[in-house]
Amino acid sequence: MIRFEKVSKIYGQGEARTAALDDASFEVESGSFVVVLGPSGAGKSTLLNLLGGMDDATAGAILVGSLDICTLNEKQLTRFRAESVGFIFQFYNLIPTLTVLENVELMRMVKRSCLPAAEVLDQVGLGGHLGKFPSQLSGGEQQRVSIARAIAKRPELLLCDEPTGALDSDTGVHILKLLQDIARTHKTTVVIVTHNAAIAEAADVVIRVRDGHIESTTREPAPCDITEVRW
Amino acid sequence: MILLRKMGRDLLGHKAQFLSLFLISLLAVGFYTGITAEYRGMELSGRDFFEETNLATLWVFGEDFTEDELEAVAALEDVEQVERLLLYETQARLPDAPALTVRYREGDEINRLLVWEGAAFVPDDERIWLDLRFAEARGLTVGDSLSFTVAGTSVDAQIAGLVYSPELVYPELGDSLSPDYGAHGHVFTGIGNLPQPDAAALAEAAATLSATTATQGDATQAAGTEGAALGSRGFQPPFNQLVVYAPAAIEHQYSLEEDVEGVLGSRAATILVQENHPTASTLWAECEQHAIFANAFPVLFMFIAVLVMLSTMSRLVSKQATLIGTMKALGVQRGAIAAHYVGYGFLIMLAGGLLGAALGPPFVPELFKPSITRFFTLPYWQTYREPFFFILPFVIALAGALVSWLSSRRILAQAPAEAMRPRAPREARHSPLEALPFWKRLSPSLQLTERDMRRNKLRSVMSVVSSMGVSALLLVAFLSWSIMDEMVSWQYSTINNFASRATLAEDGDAGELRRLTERYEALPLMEQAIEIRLPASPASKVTGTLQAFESTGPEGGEAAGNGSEAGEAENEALLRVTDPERRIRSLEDDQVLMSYGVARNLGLGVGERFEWHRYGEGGWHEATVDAINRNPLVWGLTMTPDTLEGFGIDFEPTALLSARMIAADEAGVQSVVSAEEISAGMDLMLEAMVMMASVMIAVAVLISIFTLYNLSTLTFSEMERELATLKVVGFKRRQIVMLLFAQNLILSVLGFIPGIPLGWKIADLMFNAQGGTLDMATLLIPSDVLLTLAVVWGLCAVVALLFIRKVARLDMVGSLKAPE
Ligand SMILES: Nc1ncnc2c1ncn2[C@@H]1O[C@H](COP(=O)(O)OP(=O)(O)OP(=O)(O)O)[C@@H](O)[C@H]1O
Ligand SMILES: [Mg+2]
Repeated sequence: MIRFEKVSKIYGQGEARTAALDDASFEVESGSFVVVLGPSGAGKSTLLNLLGGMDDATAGAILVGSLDICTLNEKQLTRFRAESVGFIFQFYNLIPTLTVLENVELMRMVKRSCLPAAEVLDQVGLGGHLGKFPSQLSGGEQQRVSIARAIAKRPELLLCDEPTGALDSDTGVHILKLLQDIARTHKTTVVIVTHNAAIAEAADVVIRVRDGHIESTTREPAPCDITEVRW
Repeated sequence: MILLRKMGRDLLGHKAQFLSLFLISLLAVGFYTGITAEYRGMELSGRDFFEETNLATLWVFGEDFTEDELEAVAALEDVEQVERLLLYETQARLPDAPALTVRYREGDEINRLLVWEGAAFVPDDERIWLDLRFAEARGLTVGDSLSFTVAGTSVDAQIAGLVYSPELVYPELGDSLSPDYGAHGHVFTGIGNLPQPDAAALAEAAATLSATTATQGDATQAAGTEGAALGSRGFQPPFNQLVVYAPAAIEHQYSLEEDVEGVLGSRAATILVQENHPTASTLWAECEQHAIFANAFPVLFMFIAVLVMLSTMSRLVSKQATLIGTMKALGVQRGAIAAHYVGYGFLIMLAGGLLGAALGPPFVPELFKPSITRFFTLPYWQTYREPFFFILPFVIALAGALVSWLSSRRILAQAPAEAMRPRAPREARHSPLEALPFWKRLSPSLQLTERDMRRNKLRSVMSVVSSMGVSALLLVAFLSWSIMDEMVSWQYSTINNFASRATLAEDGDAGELRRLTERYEALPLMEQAIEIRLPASPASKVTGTLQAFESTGPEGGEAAGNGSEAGEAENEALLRVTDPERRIRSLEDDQVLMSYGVARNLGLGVGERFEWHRYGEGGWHEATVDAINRNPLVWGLTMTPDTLEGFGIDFEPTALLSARMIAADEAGVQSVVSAEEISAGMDLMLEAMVMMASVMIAVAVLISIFTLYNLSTLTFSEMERELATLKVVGFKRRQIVMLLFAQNLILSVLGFIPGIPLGWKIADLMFNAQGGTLDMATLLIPSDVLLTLAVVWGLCAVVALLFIRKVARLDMVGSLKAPE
């Protein structure tokens, strides 16, 4: 279970003061496939960053399971990110000087109980590219590496900020499919931030954000498969 | 204008890098110009002084030099002037009876005296002139009188002036190895003041004077005048020295020496050429040693500075590729953009260099002054400046600008559209290392480090070069320290094993000697100045000291030095002999031991033949090198009294060594020094070197920190996004710092490896530049190598610590945004 309780994030002071998130509250169940929707500047990334322990909330509580991550100190937050969170970035953020395999293996340095890198890469369909460097892969392939890197840790929480933002729609669908499968098979809570409202049809939970406020939280009892979504 | 403002903003944005670039440039130029100013100033002062006072080209020692002989020498080609003088050694009637060398002179054209206070030197004045440092040490001044005895006649003369003499630039160090200016005075006066009534007594007294060794200091030498021929016309002073002034022959002193030998034959007992006279040779050797410092390291630093410049600039330019493209698209001339970037490098390095050139020459010499002036007496210390000091910063800055230009050229040459496109991440490649079986098992962070190093070859090369320089510098500094230490302990606990050393009075008799020897269970030692050469090869001549003493009593001969059996007897020996590996060895009868330095100088090995004689002795003794010994202070030959007598020379002890403190007021004893005083003197002597070592360590540490910091900043900013990503995915701060640190560690070691032989080579050059006064064994001491590595790594750690905060402030959220 993930719960935001009256979470606020204020940037700047005085005139420059911006409330990126204002009194945001919502709750989703573990293992859900969550889509966060909203226009640009609404506060989606802010929400995700707070959830991932990359940024401190100005007020409120963020519960992941029974843990309130707003009360954690720097060291505990690092551990939280290392143990419980997987990140997938819009621009992949792979280490360019490490091979595909090494990029995934690197996670052993933060969590001992990682899945074998080659196995995970095989799962995401990259078994044949282990020795390549990121610059030798297509964008979609790079994003798969990034997914492999995130799921190798078997995180409770998989956070994706516009994972398909830099990809064409076909490739994007494949990536999203992969993420949905992960949520279903691994019982991992997957949170995807996107501009693309169409994806909402495939989500268990859709959170709409506008101007820092949670506009609505809708649950879809029978979400369709990503591949059936009409674009 | 806009560009200028942008430049200012860029400088601020990279202030750490530019500051370290500025400081490296400052240090490199400051160090070079400072030490150059120091030694060139000293060289200049010496040269001016010698020129102004007509320092002799040759000193000829002998007896009863006549007017005809003087004229014969004066007639030689290149010889401008010749003077005769009589050196007489006595003691001043002052507390502790300091030694006094009186020079009775005919004129003041050669080795002229520079008056500090009082009247100018006039040979027919009946007053005397006194060397300034003795006068100062003894509190004597113009108008005071000084009493001493010459050939039985008591002299009580008034001091007319206090002077600097070009022959006294370097003092006679005496037994304690430290200059004791109050213990030995020099009097200059006209030959007419020589007491005349009892010429026979004078002749006898002069004959008993012992030769002062030329290698240990003052080259004064008084030779006997047995049966001085007194002309029927009256008293003829028994002149025992000829000084020859032949500035035109300064480049071929030895051929002039041969010419003089040709004229005087065996009448010239010993000839000393200027370049061997300690007053000149020690000064030049000191300068040479400093020159090695001044030239070896700054070149390296400047190279490092240029490399730092290069990597900083290429980083800056590539970071601003988009901006540059935009400017080009807006129509800014390529020349203007290039000038802008070249401007960065040029101004920063120029500013640092000029400041270095302004600060180095006035301040660095002051660091050396105290220890230098303790040993060298010059009437003035010239400051040395040359236009090059201020040209050098331009040279370095131009080099910096050139490399900045080269690094920005590639980007500037691109079409605007191309430059504006986001920079593709540089391609990574597999390295041959990956074929190694253990590669896969390496930690990913090491793999990352290895690839990153290869990806940034320039930066890596730079780190390696700077680490090489720093390692070499540190090693030289540590080696200087420990070799000095080793030398002191080698000399004062291995070789010397006595508590006191008494110099015997010149006029002591055999009875007194026997009494003293028994009373103090002392070891009689004879030391005398000698010359050594290859058989019948005058050009190979080197000067040295003969040491003769009985090795370890009756059973000493058998107690060979190989290890523990050397036993008690060896341990009790007051004076021991060490082999080239500095292990104690025996000294047996019928053995002639040659010191390592002399053997190396002459290219002699065991079993080879050579010739030697005492200073002032006409013929040469033939001998064979039976073994090589090594001693940091004594160059020459070592043998037992029996062996010495085998050469037909009487064993006449000049000193006594004892395990107890010999009383200074014993009859027959001239002076006594304790072992502590001797080793303290040695420490003083090495002070300039300690100073140099400390300066080197300070410079090395600073340079190392600046370059490492700079490099780490570059690495950090290049990898910022990756590091932030690692932080997001849960890497601990420590792990991220370690990534940076590992790279520095590895690159440092890669530089350290060639740095060690380099440092060792420089150290060797430096110690040998001691000019033959010391035989410092340049050992590669493992603990110093390890210490160097430890410091090099320690500095990496210090810099890593500086980055902890930066890692803590890494912007995780920013890393998720689009790459720049
Ligand atoms: N570091 C910051 N300093 C000041 N304001 C910020 C900062 N980061 C975000 N904001 C502001 O917070 C608001 C929300 O930003 P956020 O990045 O969460 O939007 P977003 O919904 O992710 O938009 P997009 O879809 O464009 O990525 C924006 O108005 C933004 O200007
Ligand atoms: Mg966003």
